[in-house]
Amino acid sequence: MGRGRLDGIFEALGDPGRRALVEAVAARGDATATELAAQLPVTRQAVSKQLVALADAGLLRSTRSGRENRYAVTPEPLGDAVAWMVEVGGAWDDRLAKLGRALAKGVK
Amino acid sequence: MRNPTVACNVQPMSSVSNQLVPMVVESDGRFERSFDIFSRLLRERIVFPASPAEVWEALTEPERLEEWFASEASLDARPGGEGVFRWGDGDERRAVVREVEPEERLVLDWEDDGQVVLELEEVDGGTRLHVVETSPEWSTALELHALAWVAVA
Repeated sequence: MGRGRLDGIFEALGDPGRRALVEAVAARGDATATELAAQLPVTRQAVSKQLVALADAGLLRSTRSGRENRYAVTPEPLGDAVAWMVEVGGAWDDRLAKLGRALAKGVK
Repeated sequence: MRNPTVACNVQPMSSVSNQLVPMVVESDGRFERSFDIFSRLLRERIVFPASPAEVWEALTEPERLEEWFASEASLDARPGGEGVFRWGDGDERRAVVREVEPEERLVLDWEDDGQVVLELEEVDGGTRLHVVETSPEWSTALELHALAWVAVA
């Protein structure tokens, strides 16, 4: 997993409004800017701009639907980020279990 | 892919934030972990039945580090001091000590990969160790507000 790619994902998700959008798209399965604007306290134009940014980061993919683009969540990029966390978490599981045993043995 | 029935289940924005599992919290009272992919951090809290002095020794004495952290360890636990850790699989990581407050706080900057913060807190029955490991870009994207904690019993 490339660091550069993860950076783009984190940057795209760094904004609470964009996070809410990704979540709203995920909850609906897929959505257009018009549908999302009806649900969220933001204008269609603002939603549309953020959707483009999220698609650029690879978090959403768009398909043309009539006069609008329809967006859906791309599962893979978030999978990368979660995989990073799981890898680091697994390492700490192992270390902390050993530390617990080392401390139980007491001071040498 | 389109699933119109899902649209009926849209939750209010405020309660949806964990839906994509950007942050996961696991807790069993003595141990608690949270991942936050927005903030690029892993945070763990665990209570050991040992004094802060004993835990500190395990975190800073090379021969004790070799019992749990790495198969070979050297650490100069002073600000600016160097740490070198090797594992059986040939992995080696180097760190520079950024902060030291004996029995309270140790911060290591990994040469290759972010930072680890270790903090000790004396609690009933032992010492709570706080671990925060972050990815390299962490310092420019500090977003602690994105963290939501589940209280430890």
